[in-house]
Formats: sequence, structure tokens, C-alpha cells
Amino acid sequence: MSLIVAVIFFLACILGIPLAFAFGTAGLTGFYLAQLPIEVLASKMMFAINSFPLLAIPFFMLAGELMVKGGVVNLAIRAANTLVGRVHGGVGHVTIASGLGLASVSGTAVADAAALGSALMKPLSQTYSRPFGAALIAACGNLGPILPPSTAMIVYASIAGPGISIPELFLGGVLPAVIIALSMALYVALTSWRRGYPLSGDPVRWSAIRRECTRALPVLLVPIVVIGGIIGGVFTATEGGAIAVVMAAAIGLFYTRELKISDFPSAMLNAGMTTGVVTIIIAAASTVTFIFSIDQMPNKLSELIQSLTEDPQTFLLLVFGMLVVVGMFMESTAAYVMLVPIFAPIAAVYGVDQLHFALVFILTLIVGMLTPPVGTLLFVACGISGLRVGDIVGEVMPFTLIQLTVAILVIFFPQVFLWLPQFAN
Amino acid sequence: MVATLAFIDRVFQALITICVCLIVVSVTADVVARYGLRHSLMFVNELSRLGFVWVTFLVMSLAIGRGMHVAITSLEAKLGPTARRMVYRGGLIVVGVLMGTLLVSAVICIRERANESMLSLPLAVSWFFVPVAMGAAHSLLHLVVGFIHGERKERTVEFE
Amino acid sequence: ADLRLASGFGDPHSSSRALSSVFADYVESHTDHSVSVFPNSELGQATEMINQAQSGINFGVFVSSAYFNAQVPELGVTNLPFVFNSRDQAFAVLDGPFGDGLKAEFEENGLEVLGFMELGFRNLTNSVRPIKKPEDLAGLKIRLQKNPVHVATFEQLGASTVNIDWSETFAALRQGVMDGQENPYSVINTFQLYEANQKYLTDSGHFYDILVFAVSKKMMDGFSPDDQQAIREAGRLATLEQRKLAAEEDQKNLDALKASGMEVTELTDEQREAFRVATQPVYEQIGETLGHDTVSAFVEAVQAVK
Ligand code: NA
Ligand code: NA
Repeated sequence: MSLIVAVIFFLACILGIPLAFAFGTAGLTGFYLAQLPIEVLASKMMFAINSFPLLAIPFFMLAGELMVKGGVVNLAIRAANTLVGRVHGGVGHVTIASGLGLASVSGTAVADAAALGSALMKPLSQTYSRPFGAALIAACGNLGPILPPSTAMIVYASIAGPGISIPELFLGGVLPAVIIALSMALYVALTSWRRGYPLSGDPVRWSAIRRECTRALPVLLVPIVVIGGIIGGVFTATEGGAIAVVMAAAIGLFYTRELKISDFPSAMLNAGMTTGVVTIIIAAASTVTFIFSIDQMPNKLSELIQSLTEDPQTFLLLVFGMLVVVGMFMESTAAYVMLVPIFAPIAAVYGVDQLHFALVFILTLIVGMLTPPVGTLLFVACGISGLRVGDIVGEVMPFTLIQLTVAILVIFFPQVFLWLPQFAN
Repeated sequence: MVATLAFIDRVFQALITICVCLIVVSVTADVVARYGLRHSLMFVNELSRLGFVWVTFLVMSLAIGRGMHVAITSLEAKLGPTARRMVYRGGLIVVGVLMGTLLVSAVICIRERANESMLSLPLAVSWFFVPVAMGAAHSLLHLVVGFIHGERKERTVEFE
Repeated sequence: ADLRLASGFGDPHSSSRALSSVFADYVESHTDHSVSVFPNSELGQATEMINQAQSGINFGVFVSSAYFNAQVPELGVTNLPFVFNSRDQAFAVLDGPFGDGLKAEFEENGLEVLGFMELGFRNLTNSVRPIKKPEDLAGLKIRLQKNPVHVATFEQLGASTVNIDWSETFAALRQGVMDGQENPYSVINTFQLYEANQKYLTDSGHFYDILVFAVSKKMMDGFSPDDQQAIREAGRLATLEQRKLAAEEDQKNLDALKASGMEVTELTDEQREAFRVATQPVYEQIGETLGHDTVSAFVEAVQAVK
């Protein structure tokens, strides 16, 4: 039964049926084969998203919307420009630095990439090539879910259960995000020098740095309050999302004054829409998960994997390889819904630390947003640059490799990457 | 038909906006109440989840009309115009069957849960399934329009 | 057919153990059906699993009575504070006429109760001070389930009540979003809440939680009378086994909690009486929602077996 369901899912995907409905169709076939009453479809889909932690998704989407409309992005970019604009590949470094700044206040990749693209696509394509600029924006968007706050981590924790805490996960993302950002900067500098791209950005001036950074300072309040509040225990991660919305609104209304009350309805609608297309995938994927569960797939898979290897690190590499492939074809949130309940218990059998496993799992799946054929960030970058996926895949590849390398580093050096999270306690 | 569809779209958009607003305000109010009044608002958890379920299933149908659902189109791009239309329409029929079943399923759930009341709100549990039925029914309308049109919509991201 | 039993408890929980051994063995040796137990919320969240049994998607469900509030609101009276003195007293009430009344309510909602099992007495933990008298609770932020009786009780005792999703509770306790929580020893020990600043434990036993093992009436009706009989007998035997296991585990978990270094306060009879008196207004309040008759009928049933 599981096999038929899986085949139907892949067939439906290849024929261009949207992912959510491909899941639904496969699940429905499974329900039919298992002779279940028809109520199961609506019940399964509704309950799958009837979950408080998932509310973090609309919250961080809305916070992102409000920060874009409130001109917060421009503050970050101007500050970054005074700091790193005059290096080799200047505007590229500005993009990375702004990407980090944005990632520290936003929880999702798509919103970040869209915001960066709206302001930086033009200067990037003037200095570099258009495909390189689009690729860089897509790659920087990926910092959003790696650096806290992160909806991906909240979703993971909500599925994995009480054994794993969101603050630990959040702190676990900091080091990988910094390493990825630095490696990307190095790569950008090398490429810029090798391809002979011209220097850009204003010369470094202390007065400019002081002025722009002071102006951007209040924005720093958002990550301090939101991430600090979550890790310090003032509120839960989901509630932190709501606080982020309130702060983004306050900054846009009273500090930059670029946000108008009349912007709110459309921001809320946009946040609702971008949320809905993600959560409907979660809802539909749960139908397939249900079929796999009643077919005892987790047990069968667990036995299969344990017959392959006894070594925890080999197991992690196996999972890593599988997730790279899954990430190519599947929206990451759907992959959490389907695979965390299966693999987290197996990881426990191997004695892999829950947090260690979660970090490897999340980092690898996030890279999937950059890989074709289903790469959400590729789609966003194409939308911004007007290019086709085929045009930018080549330029995205090195960034993909950088991010995958960091995931492998996490597999082999848990003691390094689990050092910071222990301070969550 | 198209005018009716556009009207329902606008109603759904308004509902989505209201639900997002409701979720943000209620969760924020709970945090404020916990510190300001030293008292949790017990209904917030259930109310915000209800709003979230509404958002998800209303968006499901709107996103069909806007081509917002993530799909793999690489095979489709390689086909000739006639074959592409056929594959696209075939896909719509499959999704139509899914949505029809979802509608029936949701209506049964609404009926079965009509006598069970929520924990913290004076509402029947059925209200969790109402948007599922609404979204499925409206999706069917969008699918019919898409079927007549015969071409995949480009992803539109902006709304008014 | 394969009879799927769904639950949020883990494999090691007394209920999962009793059902996958005693219940499954008996059913499989007396009928042609097989039994699969799905613990750890593998098939859905609690409310959903109940609906699944009502619709005949799965055969059965075993979850805390608290989740049946939508179907059988009268179950709420069993949550009243300090109402049972011992587990035997609770079982006597549930297996007697009062329990039969509840079972009829379940039937009307498409569920047949095969047994009332024990989830256990709920006990209080916190990070601030030992709780010996109601006044000690003043101002403490306590995480509670979304249960009106629970909330009313702790408000009566002067605590601030916090309603946080269970999935976020461990982290929130660890970070001090709230000071304490209340659960049976098994939960406190399984989730190692002593790792989340919960230094003080009081054997308050303020609520007694029931675990309901209910099956789909729709599916039962489709089985032969012999099969139905065998399934009911299997349920009865499994329930007895579960109650025995639960009592043993309760003691073991308490011992483990003591060994973990928690400071355990054991209430004397007078101290417990002070709590009982302080929470009496809750009986009035609950009577207003569930009906004063229901509450007094229940209290009489309890006193009858004293
Ligand atoms: Na972030
Ligand atoms: Na991908």
C-alpha cells in the first residue's frame, strides 16, 4: 500500500499537479485501499494544521512583510554598504551582510529573498551578471531559517515533541549561519577578483558608518527582544512571532514612518496567502504520513536502516544523503511532517543526540530550497530577476555546496556546534 | 461565472485578512494579559488555532486561481502545446476529484461534530471544518475556470 | 480486520503495555482479528484520535478523560479537586452505577467504553518553594491543562494560571516562563521535569485523572456477537492489568523522582484537609456549568463507597 501511494505521489508531481494536491491524491488513494471512511480526508487535513506552534509561520511572515513595507530593509542595506561596500565584490558583501541582518529579525527564507531582491537585484546585476546576482540573493535568503528566529526550527520542534526545545535549536543555528555567511563572502570576493568585476560602494568613512549604523540601531531591538525573549523565557517561540509583528509595526509606523495604517490589510493578506500555500502542503502531506503509519513504515524502515549500519555517523550521512535527494523534490515543511516522526526515533536508537540530529536534518533540508526542480528560493529569485531556473542553477551550485559542506561539518563536529546551544538552559 | 468567482475571491480575501489580524491580536493580548493581569486568556489558544485553520483552507482555493501552489513544471515545459493542455487538464480533473471528496468529507465532519462544543469558546467543533468545505467548494469553481482556460497560470504574487 | 488502537502515550506506558499484551493476546487468540497499538500520537492528536474512533477510521483510542470533554462533558465531575481518597475508591465509583451512566453518554457519541484505566493522581511541582498549605501557592505561575475545573481550582488557591501548549511546556519551565506545573508522577518522571528547574514536588494528588479506553461503536456493531464478547472480555482483562501496572509504576516513578534530587513534600491529613476546604467553592462553580444535580449525584456516589 505504501509503495502504491508513493508511486502515485511521484506520478502526480511529474505531471505538474501541485505538491499539496499530489500528496492529497496519493493519500486519498491510500484511504481507498485501506477502506477507510471518507471523513478521514477532511479530519486528517484539518487536524494536521490545528496546532499552536505552527502559528509562528504567519507571524514571522507578517513581521517580514511589515519590515519590507516599513523600509527597514533599506536601513540595513545602507548600514551594510558603509561597512563592507568598498571591498572586492562590494555589493555582494552588502547583500550577504544585509541578509544576515534580515535573517536575525525574520524567520523565513522566502520573505528575506524577496526583500533583498527588491532592493539589491539592480545594483547586483550592474556590478556582476544577472544570474550571479539572482543566485546570491537566493543563497542569502537561506540564512533566514538558519539564523534565529526560524520558522523551520519551530515547525521541527512542534513535530518532534517536547524532547527538543526551540531555544536550543535557535542557538544551534547561529554558528552555521555565521560560517555560511563568511564562506559565501569569501567565495564572492574570489569570484569578483577572478572575473574582474569592478570595485563598487563608497570609500569607507567613519562618519558615514556612524550615521547609518546609528540609524539602523533601533532595528536591532527586534532580534534582541524577540530572540532574547524566547531564549530568556519571557514568552514562547510562537508568542515571540506575535511580538515581532508588533515591533515591526511600531518601527515602521513611528521610527521610519514609511508604514501607513492602510498598508496593514494588504500585508496581512499577503502573509496569510504565503502562509496558506505552505500550511496546505503540511495538511495534505499528513494524509500520506497516516497511510505510512498504519502500514507500519517507520518500523520497517528502521529495521532496514539498522541492518545497513551500526555506526551513528554513517547513519547521519545516510540521512544526509537521503535529505539532499528529498530536498530536491519536496517543499521542506512537508518533509518535516513526513520524515521527522520516522527518523527522529531511529536516531535515538543510534544514540544520536536529539539536538544534533535536528540541526543536521534542518540544515540539509533548508539547502533543498536552492536545488531544482522544486526549489522555492529558485522560484523567488527567478521572479525577481526575470530569468528562468535553468539560467541561474549553475551560479547557485557553489552556494549550495557551501551550505551542504557546513551540514557535513555539523555531522562530524557535534561538540563544536552543540557548544552554544547549551547556554539555552 | 467569472464575476461570481471574483466576488467570492474578494470575500475570502477579506476573511483571510480578518483571521490573520485576529490571530496576531489575540496571541499578543495573551502575552500582555499574562504579565499585565497575571492571568492567561484561556480562549486564545483555541481561537487562534481556529483562525489559522480558516486561513489555510481559504487560501487553498485562492492560490489555485493565482497559480501560487508549488508544482514541478519541467516535464510540462518540454511538451508541445496540445499535449501540454491535455496533461494540464488531466491534472485539473484529478485535483477536482480530490476537492470533491474533500467537500463531501468536510460536510460529514461538520454534521458529526455539530453537537460537540469547543473547550473554551461557545461554538460547535464543526466550525473547524466549515472552512475546509468552503475552500474545497471554491476550489472546484477555480478548477472549472482553469479547465476552460486550459493554460497554467503564471504565479501572481501581488494582491490588492 | 486489523484493530488499530491509537494513543498519545509512549510504548512503556502501562496502558500501551497492557493493551499490546493482554488485550492483543486475548483478541488474537479468541477471534480472527489482529490488534495493532499505535502509541506516541502516531495517528494524530488526542481529539483527532477520538474522532477517528467515532467514525470508525481506527478501532479504538486510549487517552486522558480530559479530551472527551466535547463528547461527554459530565466526565468533568471526576476532575473535581481532592474528591477521591484512593485509587480503589475511584475504581469502585467508575465500575459502579455512576460509571454506567457515563458509558451511556459515550454510546450516544458512537463510542463504547471497554474500560476506565488509571492515569493517576496529579501532583504539583514548582521551582520556587515547597508547597505545604494553600497560601504557599499565592502568586506562583502554574501551567495547567485547558480544563475549566483545573483552572478554577488553582485560581481558588491563589495561583496565576498559565495555559501553554504541552509541546512548549518543558522549554517554558526551563526558561521560567512559569514557575510550576502539575501532572502524574509518570509524566513528571518521563519528561524529566526536574531538568526544567522543578525542584519542589508536593504529593498533592489534587486531581485524579482517568484514562478512557473507548472503541468504535460503528465497528463493534459490524462484528459477530462472539467477537464482540471476546473483545469486551479482552478490554476488561486489559483494564485490570493496566490498573495493577499503573499502581506499581506510580510508586516507582515517585522513587525515581526522589532519587533525582527533587525535594518531596508529603502532605499530612490536616494539610490535605486545608486544601480540600479551600477548593470547596469550585464544586459550586462547576455545578453551575455541569448541573448541581450531576455534581451532587457524583459526590454521593463517591461517599457511598467510602
Ligand atoms: Na531568521
Ligand atoms: Na529543492
